[in-house]
Amino acid sequence: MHELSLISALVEEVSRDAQERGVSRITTVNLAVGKRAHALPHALLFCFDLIKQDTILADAQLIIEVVPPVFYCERCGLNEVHDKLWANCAHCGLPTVPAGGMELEIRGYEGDGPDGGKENKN
Amino acid sequence: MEEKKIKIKVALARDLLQRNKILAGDLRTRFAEQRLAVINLLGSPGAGKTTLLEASLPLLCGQYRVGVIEGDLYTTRDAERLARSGAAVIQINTEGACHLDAQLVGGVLEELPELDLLLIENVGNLVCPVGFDLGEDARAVVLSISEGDDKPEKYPQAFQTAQAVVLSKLDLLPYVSYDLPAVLATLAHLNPAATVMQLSATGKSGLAPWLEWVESVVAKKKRGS
Repeated sequence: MHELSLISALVEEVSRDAQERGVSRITTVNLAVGKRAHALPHALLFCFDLIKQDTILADAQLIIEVVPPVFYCERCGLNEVHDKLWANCAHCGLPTVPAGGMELEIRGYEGDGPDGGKENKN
Repeated sequence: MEEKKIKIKVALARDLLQRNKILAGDLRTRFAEQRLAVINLLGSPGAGKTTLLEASLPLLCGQYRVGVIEGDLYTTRDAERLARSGAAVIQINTEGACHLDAQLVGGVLEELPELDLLLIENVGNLVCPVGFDLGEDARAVVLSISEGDDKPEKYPQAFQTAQAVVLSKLDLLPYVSYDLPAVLATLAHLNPAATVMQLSATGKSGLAPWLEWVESVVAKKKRGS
């Protein structure tokens, strides 16, 4: 259950950042997950619903964007997207290097701002 | 009275493993100050990580002050096996967690004496430990013949992030269906820079290249590079 520690880190990071900004309630969190990042989106969603309870993310929805594997040719400077484990560059035939598809990145979040939900009477 | 709601949108672009990366960076600084060489040993359960250490430690302990951190979900069995070698052994029980992280490693360092070489045996798993930097100088993956020849293709990241791959239990080769040339070709594609070694730790054959590789990691750290 490696997804559980990833989601715990996400909830911790977002909560801390939101607190610093005075955000009272979070509605959505955007997460980019590489196809080769060793994390299953459905397991991440399952863990998110468990971990978010009793935090300022309790009402939040997790939106996952799956990032496909990208391979880069250092000679041609071109990126290629495919599902193979490795491949030679389609243009020059030299081996390409993995350049994407491993990311686990909190892209951002949305919520209610500092005065959200409350009327400041004074 | 109208309820006031200000929507806020925050762009973070923050790595989910950032906290571990920061802690691993702190460990790396600490290891550099101590000129302590650190090797993170990965592999499936039963790949022969502990047996490899058991065979290597008596030889390494003659040259260096060696410590071992044993990562396991439960039990101190492996630590007990290795303590006989004369190395300083610390057990971390992760209580179900599938990998070691920098915080867990940092938490036990105080218990170790002054060392030249620290070997960290990660939790048996080719998936989860991959993303967790422990501040190591090098990562070695142990892959046994009996696991099957398809494993590098099934778990590419473990092999792509390693500096060394140890093909263990080579003495079993005559008894199992295993395409060794195909495995070597796959490894060459996945990670052309990795040092690939073949050995049998129980048969004590092929250990020399492995020990030389470990020595090269220690020598490099002593030089401060």
